[in-house]
Amino acid sequence: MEQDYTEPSGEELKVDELKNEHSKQIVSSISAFDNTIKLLGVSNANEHQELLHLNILPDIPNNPINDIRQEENIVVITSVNKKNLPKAYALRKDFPLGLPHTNITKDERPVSLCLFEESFEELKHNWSGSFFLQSIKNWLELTAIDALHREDQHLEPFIIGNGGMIMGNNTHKFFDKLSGNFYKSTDNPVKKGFHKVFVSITPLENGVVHQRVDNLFDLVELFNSKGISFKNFLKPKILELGEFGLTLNKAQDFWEAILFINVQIPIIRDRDQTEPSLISFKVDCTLGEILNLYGFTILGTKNIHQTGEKFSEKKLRAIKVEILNPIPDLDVEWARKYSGTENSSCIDSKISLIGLGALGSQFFMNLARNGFGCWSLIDKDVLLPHNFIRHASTNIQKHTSLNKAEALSKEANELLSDNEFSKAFPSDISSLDKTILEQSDIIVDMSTSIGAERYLANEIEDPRKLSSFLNPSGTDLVMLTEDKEGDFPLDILEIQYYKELIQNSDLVGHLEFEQTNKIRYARGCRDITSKIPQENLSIFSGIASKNFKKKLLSSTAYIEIWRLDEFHSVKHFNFTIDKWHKVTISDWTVLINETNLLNIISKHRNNKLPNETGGILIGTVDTYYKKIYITHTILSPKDSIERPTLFIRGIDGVSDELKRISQITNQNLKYLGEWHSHPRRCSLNMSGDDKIQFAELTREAELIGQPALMLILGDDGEFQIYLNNLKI
Amino acid sequence: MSKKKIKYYPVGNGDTSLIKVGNANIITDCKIREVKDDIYDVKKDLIEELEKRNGKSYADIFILTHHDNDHCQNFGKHFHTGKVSSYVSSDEKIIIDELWVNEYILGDDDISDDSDAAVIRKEVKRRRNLYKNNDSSKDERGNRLVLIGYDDNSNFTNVPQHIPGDIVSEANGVSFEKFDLFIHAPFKADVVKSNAIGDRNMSSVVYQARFYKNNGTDYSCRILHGGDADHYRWATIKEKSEKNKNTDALEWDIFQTPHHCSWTFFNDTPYKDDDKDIDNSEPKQTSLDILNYKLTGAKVVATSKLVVDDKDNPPHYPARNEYVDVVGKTNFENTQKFYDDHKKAVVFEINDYGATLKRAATAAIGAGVQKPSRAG
Repeated sequence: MEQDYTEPSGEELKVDELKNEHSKQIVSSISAFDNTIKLLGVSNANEHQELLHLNILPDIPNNPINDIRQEENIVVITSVNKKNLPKAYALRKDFPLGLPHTNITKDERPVSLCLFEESFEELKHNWSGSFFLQSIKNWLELTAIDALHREDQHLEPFIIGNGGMIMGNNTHKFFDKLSGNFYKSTDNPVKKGFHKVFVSITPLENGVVHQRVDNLFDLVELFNSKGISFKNFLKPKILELGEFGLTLNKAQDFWEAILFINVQIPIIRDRDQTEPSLISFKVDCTLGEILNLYGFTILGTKNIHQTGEKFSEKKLRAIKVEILNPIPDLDVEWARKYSGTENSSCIDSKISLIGLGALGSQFFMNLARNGFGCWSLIDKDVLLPHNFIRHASTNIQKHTSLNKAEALSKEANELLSDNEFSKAFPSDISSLDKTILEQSDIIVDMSTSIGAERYLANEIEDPRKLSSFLNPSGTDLVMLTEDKEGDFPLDILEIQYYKELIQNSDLVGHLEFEQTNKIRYARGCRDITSKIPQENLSIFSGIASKNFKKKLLSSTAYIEIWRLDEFHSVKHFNFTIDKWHKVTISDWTVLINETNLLNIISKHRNNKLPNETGGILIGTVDTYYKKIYITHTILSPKDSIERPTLFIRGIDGVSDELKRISQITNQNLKYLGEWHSHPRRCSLNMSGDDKIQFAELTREAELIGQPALMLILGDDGEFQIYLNNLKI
Repeated sequence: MSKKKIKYYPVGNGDTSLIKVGNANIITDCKIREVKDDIYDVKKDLIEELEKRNGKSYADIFILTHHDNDHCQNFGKHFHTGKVSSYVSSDEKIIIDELWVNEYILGDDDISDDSDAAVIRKEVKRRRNLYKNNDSSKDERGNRLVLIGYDDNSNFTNVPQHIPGDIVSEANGVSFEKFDLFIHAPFKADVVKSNAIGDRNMSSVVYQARFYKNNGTDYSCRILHGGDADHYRWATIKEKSEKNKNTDALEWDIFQTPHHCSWTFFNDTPYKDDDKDIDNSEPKQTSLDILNYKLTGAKVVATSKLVVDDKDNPPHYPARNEYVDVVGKTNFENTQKFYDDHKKAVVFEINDYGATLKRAATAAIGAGVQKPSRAG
């Protein structure tokens, strides 16, 4: 912070003439300091500023590290504006310069003490005159023993830059002027060329230099005053650059590029320890010119002519120097460091993400900001105005009508200065080259499309897959994660997820939606765009990305739901994965939930023996992949007739239960067919009655366009499945 | 144990000081006046500073430089004498684990029986007899006695002894933590009955207290404490220390003005008497030499009443000027002036950076943690 002190030209004042609130507070607090602080006088500098001249007796040891005395005269300048913190200056003519925690001022004296790191806005709640006076005393006492700088604090920079050089990729050869005194390296050849020179010098004591550096002469003198010949440190670097240019026969622009000199200065923390500090100097001098100063003249671009060194004060003064703070450009490495993920395992995973909508885009950008992963982004959709309400991209001007994957990929790659971080595939998943997906370590489906999820489950074999989506009202996040071995593919997890909804009363209303508040654009339960606020996306995309990283570390399958309640707390549901039984009939695959269906109906049969019993099979059919998933049952209704050689299923309550299941699962689970048991030690072949019933089932199935299904259950859980109407 | 420090209490012309080492508390002399307006409550502060054993405050060492009243006033009232088992809790007296005295306490016939010096003499005899009789309790804390200087009259048979030139690095059988004491005086001649008669000051114990830095080898602070020793004793101290190459034992960061800032440190008194044609106003070179063993930022503490520009002696204003010439005004402290200004004892905290004079009142953070004064 720059603060300037000018010798007051105002009048001596009496204490009761003080007007500034801070002046009054400070003066009234002096008496509390038991004669260790005395007021020598007060005056005003102008109508806004008042000066309090203080004599302070800090507690200083007889062998202090810094020359702070047992008696110091300090002037405090207060402002009429209460929001300005009073400033404190040490008036002693030989008060040490370059101490840590002093402010940079136009003139080196009087030394301006940097008492607070915080602004008045931060301090005002604890502010008092005595707090301020105590802060001055503390400053003096701790500076005396060099303890003001806490151990966990960084040391003072050697010299403070007035702006910054944002240094990106090492291959950048050009620089761009940003606003203020900021520059940024670039690979854009339209911009000015530069050479980055790195110089490492010998260690220096901690403390800020309070000298102005405007030109190369000032810079050389500054280092001279510290016993360092900057010219000598720089020379080999410049000559090396020159030789490099000659060897590669570099063109004119190489010799005309100016210099950004990064100087690494180890700052001494204590006797044996140093802490590196880096400062950048923009030297307005071409490589050719500086070589010339060192006595080397480039003739054409091929020859070098050596003369004597041509340094002179006049020449050095003519070369403008800007002091800049070197700022590393954000890249993957820094993103990982800043987010603390640099040591995460799986951080380099190759991830394919399908669906860059609201959830997918925010999930991706969360992880991109972590520098996590290496991505293939797949989405065929373009960004339209309504998308920006909940999309990671907010750049409606530039991104409208752009492909979602392309827009996000560009944004992330630019953020991390890395064109390899993500690649966009503006395509439908089914038209995408399968090898792109197959070469991934993991595939994340956030397409909200059952079709995409079923495609992944059925068409892409190897990589593990994960599917995540929000429920229609945006209150719940679902994440289905395959196991590493692929024993529980996404489609199986999806069907079990529906079954959990009908069995878990805590998840009531999960797939419900009110038509008036939603716009349904496709048939799938997730193909709904609704009035979900961005906050929900923020919460759930955060959970999704965090959970995703965690899942990479485990190898088992998961079905998880997070539910946001009215008090904004999130409840996590984690379901045990069911076992499934697979039967192939003709070109159809029947998947039967062993845990939930076979075990339940076997138990039911045992309870009803010696009578036959039965019920309704609930599940879903994928006619495209020819798969039947049976996951649930309605056990024999009350009005069923159950005899030792006869079972006629009743209808009591069946209609209501089917309606409930349809409603809860958003029509994803439905009536599939019938099951019944045979008596003990009987075959699982169809009886005459069974054949009649199966013929009826087939007729009904033909009507609704799905296979007819009958399951006959016998002893020891044995069963037989009968399918018909397979050519649908 | 709390911070390392040395404390000089405001007791007017007189001495009470407390050295707090890492693992020991050492009181030198006492002058504890009745507490009333503007009289600092020395006892209360001592009780707060000292450690407690079985609920009883104790000092690891009490050094009696000499037994003049301004160095032992109200000793009997505030320090326990006799066996520790006879301690009466309600008296709140301080137990002295190890008592250090010079020989003259037993050689002085002028001690009146009702004085505090007599109380000390009785306690010294009690402890001395334990050694004499080789009583098994002689080494217990509360019974221990150490003779500083020589035992010319065989009054201290079997009593442990530290003589000038000794470096003492333990007490009560326990080594000090990064601290020791160099014994300068008394010299043999100054405790011999015939020489000391009428001037107990010459028998004063003089020591240099030496704090070491955390590295255990470099000094962090050295303090010269001279009781009431006059310029003759100091000349001998200088001569012997230099002769024996013990000049590091003369160097000081803090110097307690002998005899309450009187002129006797610099020369004979009276300072000047034109009628009698006496002029002792020129300080002895040996005394100035002692002062010039000062180290960087060294401080002088005048343990006396307010030093003012008058004819009083002690404290003596020309003596004060000599000290100020050596260390500068900001490094000259007077216990009374300091008390008037800051309402506390002169206290230096000692760490690797040396001695820091703590003027400031305890910060607000400490409010409520100290025992308040009695309310009535």
